[in-house]
Amino acid sequence: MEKEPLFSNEKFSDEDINVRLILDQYLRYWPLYLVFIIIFSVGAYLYLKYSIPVYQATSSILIEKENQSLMVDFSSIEDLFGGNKVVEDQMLVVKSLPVLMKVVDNLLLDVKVTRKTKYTQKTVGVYDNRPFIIERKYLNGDIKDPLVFKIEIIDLENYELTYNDKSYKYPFGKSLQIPELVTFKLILKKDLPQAVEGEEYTITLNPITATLMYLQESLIVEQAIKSSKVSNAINLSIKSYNENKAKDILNNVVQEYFNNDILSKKIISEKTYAFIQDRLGFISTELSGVESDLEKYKTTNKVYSIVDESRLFADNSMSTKQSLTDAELQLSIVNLMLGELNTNKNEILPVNIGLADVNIAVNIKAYNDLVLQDMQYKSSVSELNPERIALSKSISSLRENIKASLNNLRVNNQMLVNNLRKQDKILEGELSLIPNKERVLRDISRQQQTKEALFLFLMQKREEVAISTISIKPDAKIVSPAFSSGIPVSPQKGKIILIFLVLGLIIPTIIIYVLSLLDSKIHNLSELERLSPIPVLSSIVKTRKPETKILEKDDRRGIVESFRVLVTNLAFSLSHISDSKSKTIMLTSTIAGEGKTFISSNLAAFLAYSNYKVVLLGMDFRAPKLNIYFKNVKNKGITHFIKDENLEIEDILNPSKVEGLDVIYPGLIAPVFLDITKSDRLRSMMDQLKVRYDYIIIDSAPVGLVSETLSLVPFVDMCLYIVRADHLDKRALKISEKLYNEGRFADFRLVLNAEDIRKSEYGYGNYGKYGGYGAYGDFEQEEKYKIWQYKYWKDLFS
Amino acid sequence: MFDSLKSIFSKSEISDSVLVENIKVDMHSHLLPGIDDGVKSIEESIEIIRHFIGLGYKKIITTPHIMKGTYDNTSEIIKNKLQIVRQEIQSQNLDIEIEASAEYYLDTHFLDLLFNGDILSFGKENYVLVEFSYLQKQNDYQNIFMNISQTDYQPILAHPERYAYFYDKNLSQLKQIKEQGVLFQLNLFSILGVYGKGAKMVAEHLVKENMIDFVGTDIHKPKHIAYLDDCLKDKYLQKLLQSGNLKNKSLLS
Repeated sequence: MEKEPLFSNEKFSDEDINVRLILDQYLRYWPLYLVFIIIFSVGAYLYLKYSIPVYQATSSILIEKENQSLMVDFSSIEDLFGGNKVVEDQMLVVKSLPVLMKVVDNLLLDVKVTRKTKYTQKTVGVYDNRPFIIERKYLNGDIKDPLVFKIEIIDLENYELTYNDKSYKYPFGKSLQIPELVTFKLILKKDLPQAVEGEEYTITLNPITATLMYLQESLIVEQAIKSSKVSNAINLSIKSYNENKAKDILNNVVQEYFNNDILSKKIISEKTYAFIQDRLGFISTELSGVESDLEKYKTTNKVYSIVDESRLFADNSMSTKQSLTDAELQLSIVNLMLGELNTNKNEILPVNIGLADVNIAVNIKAYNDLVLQDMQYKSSVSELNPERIALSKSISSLRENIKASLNNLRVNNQMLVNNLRKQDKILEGELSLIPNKERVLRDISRQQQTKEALFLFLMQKREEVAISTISIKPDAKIVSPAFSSGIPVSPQKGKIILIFLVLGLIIPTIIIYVLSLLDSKIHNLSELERLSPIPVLSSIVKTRKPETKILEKDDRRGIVESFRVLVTNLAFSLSHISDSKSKTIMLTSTIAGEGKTFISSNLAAFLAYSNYKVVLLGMDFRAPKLNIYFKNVKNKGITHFIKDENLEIEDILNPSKVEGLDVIYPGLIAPVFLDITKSDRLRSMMDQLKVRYDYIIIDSAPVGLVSETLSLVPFVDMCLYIVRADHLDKRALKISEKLYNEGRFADFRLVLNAEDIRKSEYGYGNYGKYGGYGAYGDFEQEEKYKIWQYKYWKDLFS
Repeated sequence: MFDSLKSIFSKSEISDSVLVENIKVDMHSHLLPGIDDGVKSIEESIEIIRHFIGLGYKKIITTPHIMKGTYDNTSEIIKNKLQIVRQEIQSQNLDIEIEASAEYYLDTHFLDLLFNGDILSFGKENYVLVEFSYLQKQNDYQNIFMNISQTDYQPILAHPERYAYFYDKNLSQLKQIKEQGVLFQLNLFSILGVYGKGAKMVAEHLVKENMIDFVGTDIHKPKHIAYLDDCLKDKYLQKLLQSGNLKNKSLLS
């Protein structure tokens, strides 16, 4: 009957309460949050102060496909490959060592200048406001390890240089030499804005190779992507402690990339020009030979056949002849190329000389690119460099590839030529009316035509190459030059502060969470009410120091009021028993040390203060503690009374200093307890006490440990089950529940002992915390520890 | 300069005596010496009474604790003490009326007194001032009020703003008590926050919700007199005093 509304009620309000409780659980530790947030704020401040800001510069260039006038138009092939091959290739070129090499050289990136800041003493790089210009020349190629010099400017003429712990004084502008490594010169800038005397710098010369590798790593080259479509633009970016340095590097990379592009094109077109020129010489000789043959033949045989020829060329065989001429031209070009390929080793191949096969043209272009790259490597990298080895491997494989393709092409063309010749023959057979002399003439003249066509073709190509050489420009243009926002990309102030603050919040939350996970104790009244189905009678508040005595009735502390409330609640709970009848109350607990004896002694005392006659029975035979509270222990106790039939009840009653309260001690600790509790003497004792006293308070043993507690049940009107806050494990409540559910006791209530009211949940609502629970008239607040006191923190985490 | 400033301020201020006009009767104090935690001597008692007179109070109903086991006062003891204080007032020729009732702690002893008719009530309505523990909620308080309601007595709950265990979201427990017909007496000092921030907030809330029927000082010691002057300057209290809801004046006749 009672349970139903309770259930629905709980369900309704529980969630509301739980969120609040969880929040309160964390908010209670606000000083911890405060400390962590302060620590992390200081951390963030120091981090920002001592970290060196890094800037990022970006720039972008656009690769223009259309402008590759000199090359074959590749656009159709790119489409076949599906990707933007040209752009990807160019990205590699931008990051290629030859380009970066030039950049390192131009900007002296291998030379690093640093100095210490005045107050924070952090080492910062100096780039564009160096007071001097550095010149260095490596004597034996690249150095292996960085060279470090310390420089102190003495005056406008001299500086002191410390190298390998030795100091030398040098004049500016004079070069000095580290034998076999480097010559080195400092030139002081003119018109310096401020005095530089006494300034100290550290100059580090890094190995070029290491600098190159570092640059290659830190230079980011990406294909620009706009609305999910890959564009032909390339974005470059680099980070540096110095904005201007980053910008300089990017601009220089772009410039060197352009230079590199122009240079390659120049080499190719020069090579092509030379090749054509060369061929033209041969062809013109051959052509003039054939022409003179023709002339000779005509003179010798007196053939004059312009009309015939025109007739013959106008007839059906005309188209065949045209094809034949074309095929022979192609064949000649293929032969030219093959000849070139066989004679030159690893040199640029001429391009655009009229090969009809697009594949070969593409391969030749790729081949040329590789050869150009190899040529540039030659100056900087040794032949044993793995990258170069790989490069020369791909060159030779590509070369074989081209050769095979050309051979194929030659065979094909040869077959075509043969076929066409055969057809021509048949056609000529049909025209067999033509006299023999004329046929010979026609052969000669066709030879002449072929040579002439080739000659004219090459002439045309030569002009084309010559013109394009003049108008060479890079295949890319700058979309935006290097730009930096001026705001460091790292550390990002807002982000760092946010991260530190979040950490400052998360770490204490984790600490509290872990603590709460480890915490399996019961803490306060409302928690106990939630966890246990057993009604809770009252709670006794915690005192700063553990109490081990009978409390005075005019004591003004909260604990006294706790007992007053306990007595009041007890009286109300027992109001169904008439006033004139004696009431027996037993106190027990799950384990020892929960405060049974303390509560039973003081409960007895407070009942006595209210003018009841009370007797306190010490029935914890195993670990009696009553003597702590009542000093004047008589020799005889309950066990004596049970054993010795001659003893009267008066013999074991001890008056206490509290008026109206008598105490009976357990007596000698008997070996067999069950005998005692079953005995008739016990019954007789209880009967006699019931007549004499209003209240009989029994301080018994923990129920979890001893079974004789349970045998006292028949005498008991109410059992108070003591649960000590911050002491008893939540799971141990099951033992009390079992006892409660068995229903042995007429009335069964929980009493929470040592509840820390400062940590309790009420007062957290809308009205802040309970401000002290002093006495009635006084509203002086309880002494509070200050936040910087150790005890404050001990209290918080207790 | 200062005088002119002073006059500007005093114009906007309502003088204490005007405010006390709306109270006239203090019905919660501990002015009988030596029987509870209130004044210790007759001199302290008179010192406080003189201050009341100075402010314009016409009548004091003083209310010593009756709390079994702690302050075992009886109607007899209280009446005897009252005589002593009355004599002193007369001998000093002070112009104030004084009566004595009690502040009853709600325990079984109170119920016994109630059933025996041994209650010191005051006013025409048989008002009886009752209190709870500050610290912990009593289990059966609703039943106690039910019991009282079956008698001729009209319970007044002393300082409802001081029971922290009633500080729930909408003060629903206090509202429930109010609905049971219990009248509420506000401690004037609560509004100053001397009992804590929670008590101050709840006091303001109760004033806003028109739940206060009586105001009292609950004064225990002469050193708390200064609070009385301070609290009369509080705007919540001024509003309450001028609202006309207070029943204090009705105790005069």
